Amino acid sequence: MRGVYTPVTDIRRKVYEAVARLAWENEPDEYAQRMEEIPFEIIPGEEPTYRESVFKERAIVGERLRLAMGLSLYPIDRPTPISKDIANVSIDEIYYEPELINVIPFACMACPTRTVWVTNNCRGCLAHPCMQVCPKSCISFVDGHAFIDQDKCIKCGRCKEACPYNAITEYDRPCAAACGVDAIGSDEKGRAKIDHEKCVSCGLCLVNCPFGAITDKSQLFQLSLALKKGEEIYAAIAPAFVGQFGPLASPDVLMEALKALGFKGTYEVAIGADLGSVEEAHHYIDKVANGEDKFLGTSCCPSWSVMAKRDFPELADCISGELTPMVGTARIIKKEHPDAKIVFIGPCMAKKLEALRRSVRSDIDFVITFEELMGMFAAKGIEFSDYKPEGKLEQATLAGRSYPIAGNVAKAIAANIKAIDPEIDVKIDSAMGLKECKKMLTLAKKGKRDGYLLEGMACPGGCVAGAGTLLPVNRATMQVNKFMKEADKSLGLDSEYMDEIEVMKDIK
Amino acid sequence: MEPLEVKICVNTKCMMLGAMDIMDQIETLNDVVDDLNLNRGIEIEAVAELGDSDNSDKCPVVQVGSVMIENASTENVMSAILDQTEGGQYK
Repeated sequence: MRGVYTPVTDIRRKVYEAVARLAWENEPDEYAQRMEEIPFEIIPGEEPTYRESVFKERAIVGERLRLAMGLSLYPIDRPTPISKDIANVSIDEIYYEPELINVIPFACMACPTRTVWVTNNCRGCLAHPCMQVCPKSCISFVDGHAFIDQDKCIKCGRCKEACPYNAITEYDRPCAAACGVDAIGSDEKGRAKIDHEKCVSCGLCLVNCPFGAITDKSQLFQLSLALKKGEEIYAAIAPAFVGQFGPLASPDVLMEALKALGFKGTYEVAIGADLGSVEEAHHYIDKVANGEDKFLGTSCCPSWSVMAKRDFPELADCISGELTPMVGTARIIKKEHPDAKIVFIGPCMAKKLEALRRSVRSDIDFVITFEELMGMFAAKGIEFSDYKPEGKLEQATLAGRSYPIAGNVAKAIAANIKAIDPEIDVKIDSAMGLKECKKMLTLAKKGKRDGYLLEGMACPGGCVAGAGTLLPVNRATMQVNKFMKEADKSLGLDSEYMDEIEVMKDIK
Repeated sequence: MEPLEVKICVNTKCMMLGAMDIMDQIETLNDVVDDLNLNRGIEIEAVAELGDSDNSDKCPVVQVGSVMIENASTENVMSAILDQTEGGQYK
């Protein structure tokens, strides 16, 4: 469904706009009343559009509204106002109570779990290769058509491959199919339930649920309140931003539009990516090239690095502990503006948790996605065509700007290694999608990736395909490619922020 | 025959409500040009304002030839395109 604007996307974005508008246009004593009204504005009329009841449609919007404001799901079996606990979240600093990614139980349609199924394309053919290839003998003929005994079926898919009519299909819950860490199970009613011990918050279930039953918590209400107060706030914008806000929002115009929202200035997170690529190049040279460590896994994708360290504890030391581009950039902003608040604006849901992690002082005050930021622009009525570029965003190199496209992180690091020591032959492997990442780490565990630089990306395509993006992935990739080439310098080593590289070493 | 002009408004509200997804779907119509049997080409242009696109209730706004489409979706835009291009030998 990525790249297709569906009613699910429509509702999600309208909720973000409504939340930003609530913060900017209303006073605290009006919040509760407005929260009751907003679902009626997003779902108007008396007739339901997609579900069996308009009341249910509005109740789901109510839940989305709560989560977008940072509140938790509310109980539906007790009289509870939508605005329950509103005072807790009406603050100008981060508010977070677990969990980040939530299934709205009554919005979930309890789709069947993975099944191999014979459709009515079956011709009941004489050859019936399906039966011949089934290792469990679970296919029989019923009423002249192949029939799979679901109790016996092991879902190997051999029958599906063998059928000359494509009559056998395999389906799965879209949320579970998108999840690379098998974190989606079922509750007692068969509805999707996230195992938060396994979930690494990549957000792919959320963007793949065709019923819009999964959503994450947002900090845009608190950020909007902070901006409304006129606090000193800087934006750290992830390199996947290029083109996300449309053809009118060139990087330089976007900087002006962010100022109009109340930000004091904007930094490219590609600065931190540049410095990170240098740190990881040295790490590879010092530890991997000489055989001291088996391999080096990149650090920038939080879902990948959390999964790798958790599910492959024996390899944890080989996953880079270098600061991520987000944190590195935040440290630099903090040095230049010690009293400022810093907002990471990116494509990623998992960064919301990375910023809260206690083991590393992130220096990040808020994390929002591109989609949430677009809601803020819309709420404030900001039109990009009203702004002329006043400066040029030219802080980062081609290397840092290339990070959001899968495969480029390892390339950027390898380019630095080559520049430092041309004798070193860097072996690279990269994987995108957490299932593929796991396969790569399994090979590494068996010793088949010794001496490698391994890049992992949770989102297929890289950050340009993150769960919080607005643009179809192919367009986003093109835009990032174009912006990369506008950089004056190509290597991370050439970054004008190299003097600041010490910030990357101050891990705590 | 002159190519059919499709203008897509990309102001903030139209962008938020999926203007680029519409553009993407229209551009990739070229991949199925043989099946569609079009009689003319399609030229796509992104514009900063269009019709009543400053009224957020009408976004996204797309113009196909002389037909203005409010609350545009890939579905209604493609249907308007086919109304004005179908049945020819365009390659």
